[in-house]
Amino acid sequence: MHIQANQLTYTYMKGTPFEKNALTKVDLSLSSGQFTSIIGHTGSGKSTLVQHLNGLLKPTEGTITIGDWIIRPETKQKNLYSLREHVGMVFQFPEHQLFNETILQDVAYGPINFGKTKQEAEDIAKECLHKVGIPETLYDQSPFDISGGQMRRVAIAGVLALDPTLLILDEPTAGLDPHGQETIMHLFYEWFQETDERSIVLVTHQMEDAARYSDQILVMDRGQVVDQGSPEHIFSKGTELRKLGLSVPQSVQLLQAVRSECGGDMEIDAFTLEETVNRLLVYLKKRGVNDHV
Amino acid sequence: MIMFDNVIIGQYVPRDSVIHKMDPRAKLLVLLIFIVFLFTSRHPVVLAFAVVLTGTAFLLSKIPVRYFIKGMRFIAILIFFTFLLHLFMTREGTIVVEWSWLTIYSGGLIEGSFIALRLFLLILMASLLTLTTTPIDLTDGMEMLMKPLKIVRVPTHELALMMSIALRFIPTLLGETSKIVKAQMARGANFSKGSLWTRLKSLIPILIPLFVQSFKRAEDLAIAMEARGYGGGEGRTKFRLLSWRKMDSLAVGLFIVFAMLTVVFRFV
Ligand SMILES: Nc1ncnc2c1ncn2[C@@H]1O[C@H](COP(=O)(O)OP(=O)(O)O)[C@@H](O)[C@H]1O
Ligand SMILES: [Mg+2]
Repeated sequence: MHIQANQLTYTYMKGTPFEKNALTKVDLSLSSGQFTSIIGHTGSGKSTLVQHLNGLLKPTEGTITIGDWIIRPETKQKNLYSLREHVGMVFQFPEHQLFNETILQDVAYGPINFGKTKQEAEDIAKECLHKVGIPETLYDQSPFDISGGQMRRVAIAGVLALDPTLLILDEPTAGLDPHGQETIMHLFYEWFQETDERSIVLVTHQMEDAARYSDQILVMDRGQVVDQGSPEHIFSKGTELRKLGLSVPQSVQLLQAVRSECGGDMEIDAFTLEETVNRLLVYLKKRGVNDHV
Repeated sequence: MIMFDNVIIGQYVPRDSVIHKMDPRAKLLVLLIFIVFLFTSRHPVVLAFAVVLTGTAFLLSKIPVRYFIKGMRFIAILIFFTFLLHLFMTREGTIVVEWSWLTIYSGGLIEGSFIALRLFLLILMASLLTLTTTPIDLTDGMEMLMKPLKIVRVPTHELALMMSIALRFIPTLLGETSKIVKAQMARGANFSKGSLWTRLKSLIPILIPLFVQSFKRAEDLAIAMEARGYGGGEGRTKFRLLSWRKMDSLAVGLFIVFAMLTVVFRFV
């Protein structure tokens, strides 16, 4: 779904002494079918921005357009209900939303809310649980009796079960071990690639993830989008990112260090292990050290 | 979340004011005196004095008026209903309005207004206490004031600790509720559709995660406290000390005068 924000402003607790401006006049446009990552320091407004994408928050000023839905400050909540059928959202620590008696019922909760019959919903739930790697033997267990990693997968299945076209991920791998992080990100990427119109908006602190999966990256700072572009573009500006309290992926750091130590000329936009090794090999060959490699 | 933005009960608003700087014990004492004696007399002089006291306290506290009014909306409805109740139920004095089944007596009008006014003053004073005192100061103050009860084996320290923990977790709980409400709404939960029963049932997906997390947090907290050697109130010294100043004596004195006034007017 195409996303467009015009002068989007959001203020928490407006009209109280605790008023807090979280977004200030954000303009942005994301075309459909893309993987977008949002990076930025804690408190820069990432979560606030993405909660506008499925109408959980309404702009204080300005508008946001998601597909056919236009959300203005005066838009009524009940008109946003249908939007949520198309926009799934995985919050930070999604396992906190589990509540049902069995895992299967919990995953079926969303589809039932959006009008599926119990049978249909359970079929969808089974399919999604299979996708996230929850074995069938667990389907009838309580979602509170499984490991933290499994709980997170169940919660994610509960969101995928809505069959959204746009999936919003707000730091979905926070608190997982490196292996768990990788499997979950891989799962999302597979889901993303299944059809052409699916889009993902990922909020992350993992620069490696942002670099590896994104078509484009938004950089946020103090309630504003300060930069937008391809991973290559964004991560070529190491100094600017560091000023915002961000970093560049480790692969980029490595290549940069090699280049500045040994001089010469090398593209530093490699984000996977393989790419990085290749870059290094080419670089070393060019400098005539191939005899020793 | 929109629905929690206007909760001011238990909310502390940091400001630089004389009321904020008062000793919590003084504020508690003042409130206690006010509650006990406000309903003693209904003489106009007493009420006028009460209005002046509350009004001055509110102005001194520098709490934004608009914010306060917004937060009082729900309470205002309660007060209004109390007023109506007295208006219709009292059958004293002369008849003011007579209209089919509805008769309003002058006694009802007066009684209703008195009750509404006093209720309003009471709630204003009580909310002023929490609006201008941090939860920690509040519990410290309570613990000190309850000290004499220790003689009759009331576990004052534990009570104060329980209260401070409860107060400490109100914002956490509100934040968590808002997050879970959002997460379930994203999965198509609808809290404003269908019969009362359906609506009540739609709260289950909110309440269960909240309970689960609260229990987990309670356990974590208990373990953390034990790990750091917490052992109850015996022999425990205070990190923050309360300081009683002239201002506090003055305030308490003023309210004692008010108390005496109510008693005098009651029996004159
Ligand atoms: N529920 C809330 N009430 C008040 N202020 C909030 C709330 N949520 C976030 N904020 C404030 O809004 C700003 C942006 O927060 P957020 O969007 O959560 O940032 P991020 O996700 O980038 O860390 C922060 O300064 C934060 O303190
Ligand atoms: Mg966030």
